[in-house]
Amino acid sequence: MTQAFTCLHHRAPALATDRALLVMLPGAGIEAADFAARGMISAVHDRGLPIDIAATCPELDLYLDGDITAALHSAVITPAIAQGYRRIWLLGISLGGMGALLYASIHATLLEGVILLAPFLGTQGTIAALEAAGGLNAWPPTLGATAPERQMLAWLQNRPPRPKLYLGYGEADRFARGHRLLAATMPASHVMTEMGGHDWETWAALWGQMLDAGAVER
Amino acid sequence: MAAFLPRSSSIAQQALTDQVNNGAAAHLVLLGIQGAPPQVLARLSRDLASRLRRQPAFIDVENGDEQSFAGIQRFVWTNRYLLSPGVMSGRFTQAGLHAALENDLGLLGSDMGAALQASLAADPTGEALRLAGALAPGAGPPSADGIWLGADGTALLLVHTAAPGFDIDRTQSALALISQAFAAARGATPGAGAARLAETGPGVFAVHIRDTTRSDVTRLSILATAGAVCLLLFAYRSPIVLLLGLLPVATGALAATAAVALAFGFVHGITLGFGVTLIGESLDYAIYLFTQTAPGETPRHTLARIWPTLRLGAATSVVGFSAMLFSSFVGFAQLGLFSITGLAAAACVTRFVLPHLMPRGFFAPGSNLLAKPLLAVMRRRNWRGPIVAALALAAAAALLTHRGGLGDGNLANLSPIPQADQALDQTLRHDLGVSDQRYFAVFQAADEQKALQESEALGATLQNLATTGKLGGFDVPSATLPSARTQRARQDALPDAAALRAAFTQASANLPFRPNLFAPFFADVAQARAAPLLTQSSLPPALQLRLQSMLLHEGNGWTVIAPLTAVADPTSVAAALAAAHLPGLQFVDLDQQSANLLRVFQTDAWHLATFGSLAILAILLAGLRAPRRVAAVAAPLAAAVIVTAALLTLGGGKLSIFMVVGFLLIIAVGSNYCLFFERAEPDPKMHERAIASITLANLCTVSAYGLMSLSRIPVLHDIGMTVAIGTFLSLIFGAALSARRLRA
Repeated sequence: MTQAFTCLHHRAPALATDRALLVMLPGAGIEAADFAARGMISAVHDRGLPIDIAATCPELDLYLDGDITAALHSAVITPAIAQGYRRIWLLGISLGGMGALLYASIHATLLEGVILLAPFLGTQGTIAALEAAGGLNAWPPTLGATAPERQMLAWLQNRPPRPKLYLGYGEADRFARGHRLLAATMPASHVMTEMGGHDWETWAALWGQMLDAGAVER
Repeated sequence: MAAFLPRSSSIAQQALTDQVNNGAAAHLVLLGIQGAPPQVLARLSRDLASRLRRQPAFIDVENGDEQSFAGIQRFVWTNRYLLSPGVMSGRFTQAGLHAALENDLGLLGSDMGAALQASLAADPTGEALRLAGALAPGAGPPSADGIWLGADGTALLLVHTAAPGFDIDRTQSALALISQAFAAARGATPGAGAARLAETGPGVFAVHIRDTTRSDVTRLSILATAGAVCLLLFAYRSPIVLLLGLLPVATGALAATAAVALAFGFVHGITLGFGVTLIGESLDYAIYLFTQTAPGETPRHTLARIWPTLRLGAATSVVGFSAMLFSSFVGFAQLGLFSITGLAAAACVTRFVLPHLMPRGFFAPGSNLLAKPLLAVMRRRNWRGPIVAALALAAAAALLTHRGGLGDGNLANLSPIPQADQALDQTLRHDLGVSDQRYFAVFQAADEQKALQESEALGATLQNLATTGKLGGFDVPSATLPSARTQRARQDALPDAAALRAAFTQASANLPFRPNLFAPFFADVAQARAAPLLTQSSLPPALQLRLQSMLLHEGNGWTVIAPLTAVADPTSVAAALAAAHLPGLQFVDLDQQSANLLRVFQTDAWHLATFGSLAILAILLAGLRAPRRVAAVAAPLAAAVIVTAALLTLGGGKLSIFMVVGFLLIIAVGSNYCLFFERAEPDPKMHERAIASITLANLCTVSAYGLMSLSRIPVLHDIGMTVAIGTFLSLIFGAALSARRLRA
């Protein structure tokens, strides 16, 4: 079965005319249904927030071919705008964090906010080169990064005020070196950390922190 | 069932029957194991799966473990360059390879890295990963310890049997193998003693239904036969006459089978089973002859008296059933011819053969006793007519005010599958993510290659719909087996060894990959360039099954049935498919097709009942030559049908199409009673014998159909219930409205 872009819709039970749409993008090996199974959906709806959620799972070859932005746009975001959503947020975990950043770098004006949980920001070589150069904003354009890395980093360096950006990561995450580089360029109130690693327990705890801090709300 | 589908069925309706009869869905058995802790269930599931995989009765056994998709994965990996839509010119040039390698490099460090690392050296362009989505089965249920577990902790397995579900004998033996394997696995798994196995699927249903039908039919027909034998022996006191009574119906059934075989070239199984029920009325013919023969009277003399009535009764039924000849369902038409021929033959045997075979001086000594209660009803003078009229009026009022229509529009209620089994099926299907397919794109093509080529065009159209969020997903046969033209084009897109090496060397010039890392890639591309093209027979069994459920070879043509999932807006998908200009392409909504089919079926049944009734009135008028006499015969029948319908729909019930068939039977059988009631019988003794014969015939009918109504199979239950109530009411109303007053 060719699945276009698996997308499970969870409508918020809260009554509100001003509803936001939160599109969740998983990392590799995570299914769309896992977001609900791991309590990521109920965390929002149990707080009574009027946020509808689309839990997605793009095919991995979209990342291989660099087609993730176009596919997300036509399969999820365009139909959502057509349905009348004006407040759209992306939440990306791991590889999905990279997807969210790649999308934001092209369609920033369509998004109200982006939430990154332990995002994949680049290979170890690229991250080490950034550290050596003195941080994300010191990134030299001559760095031998791959095309998607260049696209993400360039946008992060000259990030517009919108979309809002939140970052959460575990201190023991294997990608934490990259996360710290990004965190250094962000307001502290938009960065959450937990003790854990690259796993669901940590992400769920980070998500709870962000919701308590009023992320996704106006 | 095909014979019971309309003659003028569209390609969409054919798709419906194809889905019912063929395809992977017909081979599916879903298993759920409960009653032990998850770790134990996981071990049990592994053990059961490995036992079943050793049996040739199963094409594949999936439980989430690494072996579940090993066959498909091996096939996809080996043939990725022929299967992948990513293989096109430009992909293996210096620029294409450089972009692919750079992407790989970026993703190697991500959480995709592990999967990528395993395949990178042989598949740097990621063709196998690209195919994983299209060729691996859906997401599947969540797994624990690598084994599928449902929401409530049920271990789930998905099995395809080698035999299709409608091959009941082979399916039954496959199910027996599953039970044995489960018992053995449970014995071998510590702590699994209390584990239970639940199974569902079309084949499981077919086996259950056959078992239920067999046991119902055996049990109920033994009881019905015993009841009828007791009644008839009590009346006749002669075993020989009892056996003679079977002669008309037996001859009728033989003649009817021969006639249907001659006219249609085949006799449908349902025709045979149903037809014998419809001509069951001819058992009454012998009862009328035997019971109405007075002591000292010769059968010839009896027949001279009653033959005109009997003949009109048989003619009434024949005319009523002949309406079925005009049905748009071949099965109904067969039933019509069967019952007409059968009744005519049975009437002739009663008229011309039975009198010569009856023992000399026979009369039915016990019959008068049977007539007593009815005669008592008939002696009450004054209140009979008004009561019947009041009952009929009340029933008509109830029918007219019935909420939401009388006809049952729910196909599921016709299904012989018990509610509990349907619920289990729903649960396991939901947990396994095997939903019932509702939407399809269907077209026909002249040969296999054309079908596959058009399937590729359809795939592109569907991909557009999927990309724009109009479809959740789809499957086309060409995703499993690309057309030969496309496979050749992919081979042509692969450069020769020297060109590939040159392009690759330049593409990887500034990238930090080990030299010689990609040797497997060069070898595999060289092999793919020279590989023989894939055909149906190259596919592993699980994919063959999947292909055959989407690509059907029938007669001279090929039909493609592409399932579509998560269709958000069917109208816009239908419009988009219509705009695609693929010749003959249809968008099929199976639910709507089923509803349409049922509507045609219901309309047909009501038309038949109406035209049959009008034809019966006409023949009664021709036979009785007086409208008042026709009214005397028709009024009790009409009252009986109306009151029966009201009783059946009491409390909001619906009339199934089987019940409508039952109404026709009430009229056919009941008209004989009313004709005898209405007949001018000068001698009161003879009249009492006539009443006795009707009562005896009715007791046999009501007991047989009443027992049938105890069946768990809807068709038997509905017809049994309708005919038992209706014929009994015909008897009572016929007696009550009888114009002849008996001496008190």
